[in-house]
Amino acid sequence: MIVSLVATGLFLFVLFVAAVRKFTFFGLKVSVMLFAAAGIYFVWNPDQMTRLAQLVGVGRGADLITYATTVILFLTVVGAIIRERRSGDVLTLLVRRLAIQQARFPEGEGGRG
Amino acid sequence: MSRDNTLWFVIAAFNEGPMISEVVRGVAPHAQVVVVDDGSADDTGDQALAGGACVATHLVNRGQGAALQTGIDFALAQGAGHVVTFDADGQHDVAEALEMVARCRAEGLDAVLGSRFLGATVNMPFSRRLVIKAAVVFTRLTTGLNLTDAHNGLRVLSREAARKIRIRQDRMAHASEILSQIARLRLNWREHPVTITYSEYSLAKGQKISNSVRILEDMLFGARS
Ligand SMILES: Nc1nc2c(ncn2[C@@H]2O[C@H](COP(=O)(O)OP(=O)(O)O)[C@@H](O)[C@H]2O)c(=O)[nH]1
Ligand SMILES: [Mg+2]
Repeated sequence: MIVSLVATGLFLFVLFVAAVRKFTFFGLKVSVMLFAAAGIYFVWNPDQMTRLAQLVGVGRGADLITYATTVILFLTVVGAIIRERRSGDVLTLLVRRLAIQQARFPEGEGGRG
Repeated sequence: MSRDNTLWFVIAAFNEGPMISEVVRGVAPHAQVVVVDDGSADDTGDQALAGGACVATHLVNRGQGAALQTGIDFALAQGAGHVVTFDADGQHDVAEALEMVARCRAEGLDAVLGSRFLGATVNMPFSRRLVIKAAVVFTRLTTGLNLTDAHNGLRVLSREAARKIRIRQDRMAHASEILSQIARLRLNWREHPVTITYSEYSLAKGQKISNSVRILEDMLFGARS
């Protein structure tokens, strides 16, 4: 009961955040919201989860959740790596530009060029 | 002998304080030098300046690829006719680098690449040899370049070649990236025998085998376009 309530709370939070936040793709926003709504439904109707699992050829509802979680986690991590690389690239451009602008010259050579 | 002011040595350095001024002093009588101090925690920048190099400082460490690109941009802006990429840890030989420059000019080449396997290695650990040989095979397969060495930091580039090659791999994967661009741009290149000295100092600092995994990862994830 408590677990179900906590899970519902989390899904509601996701639903709310997805509803107010801007997404790069509208499709992603809709998917996240549908996912959260489905989450709430299945928390309170676990039998339906098992029915859905059997529909896609997986034994139990719990197994399906494990698979889905793995896939979502994987996609999230890949997304995070890509974002981290992009911001690293931006940082590199900034650092390189500054390095050239503030280059130091040895004694007696002054700043040429 | 007099200094050739159209020749620029680009030295990327990360925490090379104990060695860098000696390396710079070895080059400075012959050519201009820019050291890119890549966010070192020690006095690498000051030591390089004292040795007679121009110093461009990365405020935070961005890796050797990023640092080389900074140094190349700097050298080109200063009017470099040829650019030499040179290691900061004393593994390379200045006289050989100058031979490579002379050859690049005499034969009108775009690039001259150092090869320790045409030349010599001093105290090279077997594990290092194995990793580099694997990189050589990999580079041959992916670029079609018929090389004997890969990941050799000693290179000479003509101004045109240095302008065309853009390093986007910030870390160590830049070595493969430069080769693949040389292939793609159809640059006219030759390998030249060089001696790479594995001193205690350079080995203590040098690339660990574990890092080759990072290099592969960088190549897989690609670089900004
Ligand atoms: N700019 C920069 N240079 C680096 C970094 N790591 C190594 N280097 C420099 O790259 C050169 C070769 O590095 P090293 O680790 O000795 O590689 P190895 O000689 O291939 O084993 C040296 O001049 C180092 O100072 C880094 O994070 N940033
Ligand atoms: Mg080294």
